[in-house]
Amino acid sequence: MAAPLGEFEQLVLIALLRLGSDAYGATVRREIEERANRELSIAAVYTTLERLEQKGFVRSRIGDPTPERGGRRRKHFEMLPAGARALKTAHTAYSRMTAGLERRLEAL
Amino acid sequence: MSRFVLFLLSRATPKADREWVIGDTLEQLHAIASVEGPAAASRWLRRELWRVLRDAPAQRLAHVAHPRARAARGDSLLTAISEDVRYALRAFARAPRFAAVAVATLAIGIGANTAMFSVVNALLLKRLPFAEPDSLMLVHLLRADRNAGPGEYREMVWSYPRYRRFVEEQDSFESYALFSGRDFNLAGNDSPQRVRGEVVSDRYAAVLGVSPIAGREFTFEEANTEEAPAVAMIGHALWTSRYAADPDIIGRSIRVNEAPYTVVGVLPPGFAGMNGNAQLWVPIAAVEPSQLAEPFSHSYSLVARRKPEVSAEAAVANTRLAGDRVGAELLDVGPDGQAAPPNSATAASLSASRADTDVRRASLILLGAVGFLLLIACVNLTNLLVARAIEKRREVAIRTVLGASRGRIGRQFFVESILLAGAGALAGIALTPLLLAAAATLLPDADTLFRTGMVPGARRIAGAVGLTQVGARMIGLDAATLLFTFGVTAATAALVAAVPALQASSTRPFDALKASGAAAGSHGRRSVMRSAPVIGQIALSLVLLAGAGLMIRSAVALHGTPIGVDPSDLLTVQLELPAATYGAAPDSERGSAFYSQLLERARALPGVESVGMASFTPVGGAYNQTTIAFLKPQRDGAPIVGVHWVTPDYFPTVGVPLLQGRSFLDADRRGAAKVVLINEAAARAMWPGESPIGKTIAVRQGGFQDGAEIVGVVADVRYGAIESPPRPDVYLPLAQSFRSRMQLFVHSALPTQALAASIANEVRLLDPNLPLAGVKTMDAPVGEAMWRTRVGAWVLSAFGALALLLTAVGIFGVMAQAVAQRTTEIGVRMALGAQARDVLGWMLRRAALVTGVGIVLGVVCALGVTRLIGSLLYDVPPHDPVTFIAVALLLSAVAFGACYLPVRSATRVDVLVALKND
Repeated sequence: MAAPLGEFEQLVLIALLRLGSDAYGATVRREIEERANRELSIAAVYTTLERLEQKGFVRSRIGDPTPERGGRRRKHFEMLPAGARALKTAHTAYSRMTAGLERRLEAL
Repeated sequence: MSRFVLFLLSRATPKADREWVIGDTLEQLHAIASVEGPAAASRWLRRELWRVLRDAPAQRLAHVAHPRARAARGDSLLTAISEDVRYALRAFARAPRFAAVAVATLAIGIGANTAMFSVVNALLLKRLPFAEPDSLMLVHLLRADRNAGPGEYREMVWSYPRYRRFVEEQDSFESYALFSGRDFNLAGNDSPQRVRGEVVSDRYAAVLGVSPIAGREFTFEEANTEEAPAVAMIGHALWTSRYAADPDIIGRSIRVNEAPYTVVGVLPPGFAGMNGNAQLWVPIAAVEPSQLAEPFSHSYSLVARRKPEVSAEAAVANTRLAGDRVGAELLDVGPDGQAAPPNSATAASLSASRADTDVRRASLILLGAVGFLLLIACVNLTNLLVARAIEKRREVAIRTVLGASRGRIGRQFFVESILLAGAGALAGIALTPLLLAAAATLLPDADTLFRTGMVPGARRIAGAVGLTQVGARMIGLDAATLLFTFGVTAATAALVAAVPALQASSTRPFDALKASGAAAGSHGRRSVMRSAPVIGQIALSLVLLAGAGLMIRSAVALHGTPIGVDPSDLLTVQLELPAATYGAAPDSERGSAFYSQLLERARALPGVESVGMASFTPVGGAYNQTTIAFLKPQRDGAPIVGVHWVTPDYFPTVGVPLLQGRSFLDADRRGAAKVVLINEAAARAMWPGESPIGKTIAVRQGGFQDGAEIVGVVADVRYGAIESPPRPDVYLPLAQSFRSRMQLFVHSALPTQALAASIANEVRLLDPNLPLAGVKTMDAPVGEAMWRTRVGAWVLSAFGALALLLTAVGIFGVMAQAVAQRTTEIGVRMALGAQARDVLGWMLRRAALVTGVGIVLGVVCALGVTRLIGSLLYDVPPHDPVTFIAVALLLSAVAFGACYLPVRSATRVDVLVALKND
């Protein structure tokens, strides 16, 4: 079995899950910034996405340019089954660990 | 601005990803701009740049790990440099001692250079604090200098009538003003105070381009007509300190020299006149109205602004012509009654008049000296970096094998040295104000600084003293100084990085990876190259130490020079009796009465042994000169002598012995026959081989033109620079010729504070409005008279000591390195039976050779360089053998010590450990 996902890698995969076909660098970053309340740099997002790609968890495709990007193309990312499995494993582990502790976690 | 930040961002992103990364960034930027506005968007963008640079190394690591990715991605320079910086900072954090030593060394070198440059900049280079200073000129009266020879002229100051005629004749200046420094008594407020100021004509501040921050300047009538009301302008510092920045200061009446003056203007902060230390300005007509009609009383300097269309050369030529015309009209009369050769006039730009040659030369010498110091520091730093590079040669080799280019490795060294130099520069800049403050404590107060006489043979540039003071007020960290520091730092970084970078990038990786530690070139040409910097250090140190040694010897010689008085237990106080209360010279009943009363009361104080008064302080640098004529027996000649006013007890109080005849008595008072005393130098010069007692001379000051009898000869006293031999002096009895400004001398063993307080009390009882000034023990003027040499000795000694320290550290480092490389060899030799003594001898022989070469080279350079400081030396030749030998011995001893220690510890090393080393 592959090494477990890092915390940030999990966040990125979850964002991909939520965003679906709309997932590219800017949206992933915005998603994590808003929901997880972190200040990210675009470099950090791409680093993680590329690492996930190397591990075979996501794949990328080049999208269409838009005028508001100065005519630059987008790079879209999509989760692969291997990535989905890794995410599921991580989620299961977390849920099992926190089973029954929801109230106490919220009260922390 | 945003475009530039975007550019930087794109540079910081690997080429392959640039398109989508920048696209995403733009999208985000627009999103924010539409919600929060463009300002917020710009802020976000800048923060984003910072975040990207911070995350850059991790990003590159992600690329390197994946081989396919590596091929696809490119290198981006900004990311690479930020990575280098982080790598260097981590390396420094791992070796804090090395970093601290390096930064401290550079801080001293760069800080000293910055401080010195800020002084040179303020004194010689920076724009003077007047409007368009390039069009300002000093106009001097030229008087024929008969002492120098026919056709020779000396620059002089103006009389008021000559000035008026001159400005009518000239036509190259659009505005002009007279000025002259004076001291004033300010009374009122229950605290009389002595203030430095200037008497001026109208439009003085306007000529200089300065406007009052309150009120106005003097009108033409106020400055030039006798009946005009008495007005004054004050400086900002005086306004805040004495008048608590009173907003109603305009129109307020102040008491200057016991006369009422109305304040009409306040001049801006930082302005202190052409003399650099004035805070009070009064019109000539108000304080010295009699001068308005005295064509032969010369007191005033003239500053003028050229018309824009007139060049400096044209102004000088025109001034000469105008001066000739005025000179022909107002002919001077010589002491022999004959008409003197006519005067003329000339002009000089302010920048040419900025500093006397001795100030200029001293500044440049010190700048050179700090430069040497920095060079020595750089060599040390280079050695440190080279040592580190050698330690890390394996790491470098591995990186080379893995594909880092030579440029890459060199760049790493360069980044390291720039960081060190930058940190050193910042620390040095922080150090500079401290250095300047320390230097300020060494120097005497501003007045004495510029009043002490010049060394013999030096010629004073007219106006230089005032302008040097103006410059001295501008000393500080300004843009030019910071630019200089930046340049020095960059040069230092380049110099320091060059050697280790070259060395590291040229080392063949496989050599470095070899097992033996001795492989890194320790013999032959390579090691000679490595010795060259140390030889340079030793030579430079020797030059600095030689300079310091010579200055120390000068200071010692000066100390031993007899001044002519006994300065121990002697207090001196300056008094000036204002004419408004006491009347003016040469007759003043009230003034003479005041003096006699003060002397009596002071003499009666317990603990006071004797009291006397004189017009000038020994080695004070200031004295009047006049000419005398020989009346009985009559003969030709009009020699120049110093003229002094004294009370009878002056000579015993300050310890000047009487050599012939008698001193002044109480009987020598007004109404009695006029008498004078002369000094030994005068007696020898004018009456060689015979006694001057009983002869009569006429003295052209103090009301002694009709002649006075010489009743005694006293020993010589130096009143000018301590380096100048005593000149002929004539002493007039104060009782027969009143003078309003006198020095009181008190001989007493009482502690200074108590004594000064008692004297001040006695003065206050006699006149509560009279301020005392210049209360000092006689040691102070003596010390101040020697300030040039003393400061030079201190500063050069400090440099020499630092140089010695740095060189010792440098030699120690190089030696330790050499020993470390040869540890195996030493171990082998000792295992084969060599004694510690033999090993010491073998290692030290090379060291001795290097040191010897360095010292010889240093001596040769020093012989050339010390000639430049010849003018600063007193009684010591620039090639003084004693100094050179002493310094060479000192340096040899220090070098020997620095070599000996690492070698000795090497011989103690266990043989097996040595052989196992590596």
